[in-house]
Amino acid sequence: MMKLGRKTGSVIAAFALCAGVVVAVPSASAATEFAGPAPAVKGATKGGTLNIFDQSDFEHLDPARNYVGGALDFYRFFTRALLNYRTYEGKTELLPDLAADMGTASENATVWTFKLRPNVKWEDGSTITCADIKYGTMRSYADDVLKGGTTYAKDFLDNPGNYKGPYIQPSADLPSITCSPKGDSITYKLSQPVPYFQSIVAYGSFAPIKKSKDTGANYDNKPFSSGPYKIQTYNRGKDLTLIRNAQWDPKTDPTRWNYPDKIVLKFGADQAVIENGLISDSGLYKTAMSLDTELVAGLSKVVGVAKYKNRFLQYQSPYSRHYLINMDTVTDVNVRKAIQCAIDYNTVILAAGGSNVGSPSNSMIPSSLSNAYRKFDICGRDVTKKPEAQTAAAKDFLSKATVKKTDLTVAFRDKGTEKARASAVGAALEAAGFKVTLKEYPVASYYTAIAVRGADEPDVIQGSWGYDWAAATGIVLALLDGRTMTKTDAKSNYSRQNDSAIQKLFEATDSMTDVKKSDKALGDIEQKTIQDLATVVPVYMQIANSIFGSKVGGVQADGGYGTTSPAAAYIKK
Amino acid sequence: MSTQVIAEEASRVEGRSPSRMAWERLTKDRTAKVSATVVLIFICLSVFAPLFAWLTKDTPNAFHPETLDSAMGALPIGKLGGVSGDHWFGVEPQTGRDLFLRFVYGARTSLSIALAATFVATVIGVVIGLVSGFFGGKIDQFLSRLMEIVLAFPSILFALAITPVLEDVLIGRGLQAGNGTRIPVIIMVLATFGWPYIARIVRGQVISLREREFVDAARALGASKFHLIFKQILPNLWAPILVTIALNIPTMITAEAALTFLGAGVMAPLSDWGAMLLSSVAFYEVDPMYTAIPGFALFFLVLAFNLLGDSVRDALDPKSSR
Repeated sequence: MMKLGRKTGSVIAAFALCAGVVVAVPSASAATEFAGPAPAVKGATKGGTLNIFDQSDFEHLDPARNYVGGALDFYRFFTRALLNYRTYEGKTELLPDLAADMGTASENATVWTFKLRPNVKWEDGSTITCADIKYGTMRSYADDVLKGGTTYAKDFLDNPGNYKGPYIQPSADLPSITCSPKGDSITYKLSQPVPYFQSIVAYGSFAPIKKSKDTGANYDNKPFSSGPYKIQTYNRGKDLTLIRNAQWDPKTDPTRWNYPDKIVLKFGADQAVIENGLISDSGLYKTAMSLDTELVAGLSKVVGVAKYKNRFLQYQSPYSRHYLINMDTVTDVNVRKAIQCAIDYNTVILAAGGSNVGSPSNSMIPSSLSNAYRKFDICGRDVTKKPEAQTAAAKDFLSKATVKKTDLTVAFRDKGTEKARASAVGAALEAAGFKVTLKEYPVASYYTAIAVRGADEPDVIQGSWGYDWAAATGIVLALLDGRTMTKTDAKSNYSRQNDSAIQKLFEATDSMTDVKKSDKALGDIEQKTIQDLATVVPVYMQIANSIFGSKVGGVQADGGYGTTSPAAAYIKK
Repeated sequence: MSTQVIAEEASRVEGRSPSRMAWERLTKDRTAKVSATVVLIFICLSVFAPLFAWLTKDTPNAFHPETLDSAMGALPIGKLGGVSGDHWFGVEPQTGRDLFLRFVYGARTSLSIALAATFVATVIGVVIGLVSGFFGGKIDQFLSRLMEIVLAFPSILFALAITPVLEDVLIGRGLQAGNGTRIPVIIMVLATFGWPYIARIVRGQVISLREREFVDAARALGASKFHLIFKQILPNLWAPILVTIALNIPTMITAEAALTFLGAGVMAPLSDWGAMLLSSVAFYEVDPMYTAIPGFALFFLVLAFNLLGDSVRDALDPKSSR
């Protein structure tokens, strides 16, 4: 599963999708044309059961803890938020979901007010109230119980009383969120100007939670639905069945569709089993797709072959695949530079599946973000021209190191091509004189486990990131800003970056309201952390290759989350 | 005839010891000769693996990106999975690692773990079988129940579950994570499930031996129990012990490959037949050579060991019923 970064969507943002998707964010004043339903998908018919085969279960379906691209896309089937993305016929827009408008900013974008739609219901028929939306955000402060998830609420909301969440402080209030007396609008007071706040409220820490249905850490197992489907059964790690939620009114929702009667997910099959099943198009696979399995071994059978054309989807994904070097355990910059030089881009991309799966990149920022993307050398060479390992340079840096750490642990997930890629990195590092232990982690807890500080920390982490929104704030802040970390949890700053010079540069971007300016500043920061600090080794930008059953229509690349999406899927008759 | 001729004849008609007779039976057995040759070939391959690496100037873990077709899912270029003068068995998809070297080093890993596990299981099994068979009574009852309990466990499932747990315990006590810790854990786990097979056979043999006249005679002469067990009975057990060793090795080889295939075996990038099988499953349609190599290797080696074990048993005791 790919991890998602953050998003900014001030006016128009370009995504790195083949179709040239543009995310349109309507201006705050246009208020009336946001009624549902979503426009009909061409050729779609209601009915049937959509099957989804995934290698692994979702880490979290709790909105306060969900931070993985495919899961964020999927859980919109039962989770509504203030605003949400809709990808339709190649165009992606951010639209009002539970909100009735796109929100109004005041006081230099430190106060945002959203009008709310009336009469939107939970799965049990009760109305979704402003208090529910406020409680959802208050609950996201409970780091102690609800580990994981985005930190946007805590990062941006004003919190003078140091609110710690409803489990520690059951009677305290979070005064920065206020509901209007009639409950028809909600206002957020922020601690700094956030011109891209609209993109942030699409995230889980701003989704409503009904207090009486809050089961704390167990909410993951049965989230209460506000969307077109609700959970019938969920056996963690085995299967999940969604059935129609009769309480969802399409007229209140311009962002969702509900074509299939039932959606059945099965977890646990191997990469090879799912690939071969989907290619064979037999039995249940005829009406199936996968959210986390792309074509790798089967790519040679499908690419360019006419009979698969209608059910093969290839697109440039905004996901970067890279290696983060733990600055807490690999303290000498020369050792980190040696690691950077030692990695062989060719073998990593081949291990991932070759040129149809990825193209070498020197940055985690996609080239479509033109103000933020920089083309620069890594280890003194252009990685697209000379992707081979620079082993001599690596040995050279290693000899210059004062704290010679040559024993390295490389962390990776038990999934798909991860082991092959990690082996490629291990072999390349050993050729440069390191002694490497490959450490495999279970998928369901990877992102939590590698963020733990203080014990068992891996040195080199195989990671991936897709921006939460199309600006550098959606990548660089989450991945590299030292302020996200706590003493025990690195959160999404897996490289544990906290260099004082770099942090000063980050602080300077806080007040930048102009996206062009912040993109440029953050692009510069990313270049510095890669070239000077050597905290990250970006390797490639992913090309997604998805195949689905012949009776499935409406599968598309989602412009909001950059993954293969079932949101508009339907079963052909 | 003259006395000299009679004396010469007499010296030629020598008495042959049972082992000598067994050896002659074994060498006359065609199956034994063929299977012993196969086993020897595999052992030589694994012992001389570093020699092959030196000869081909390559290593089993070195990546060869130039042998792969990047646009076609990183599959090997060329027929039969990339077989060429440089790569006798072709290369591995996605990595380009030489399959012949991975095969011989994998033989090394799989064989050495299997042999070590067999050795440990044999030692444990022989000791427990001896004690149980010789002493009888409550000791025998307790040990026999223990054997039955261990035999009743679904061994692969349990091994899968317990290997990571044991490893965590050892790492908690300060050992390094990695194959250095994982391999001893695998050997221990395999031996734990293997010893009852040997113990039962040894126990049966001991029970039949302990009532024999030579044991009685030694006892009458005042021999201690220790002497009886280790100097009288144990030397007569070498035949069944040899047979169980020969028949247990293939079981251990298969079990080790199964453990690695299921994810609880040796860790990447150490080459192992079970690991090769596991990674080859995804490619069996587009690169069947990659699956065929470890698959057939396991098949032939296990078959050869089994046939050899049967032949040894026949040679040592031709009266035993098949």
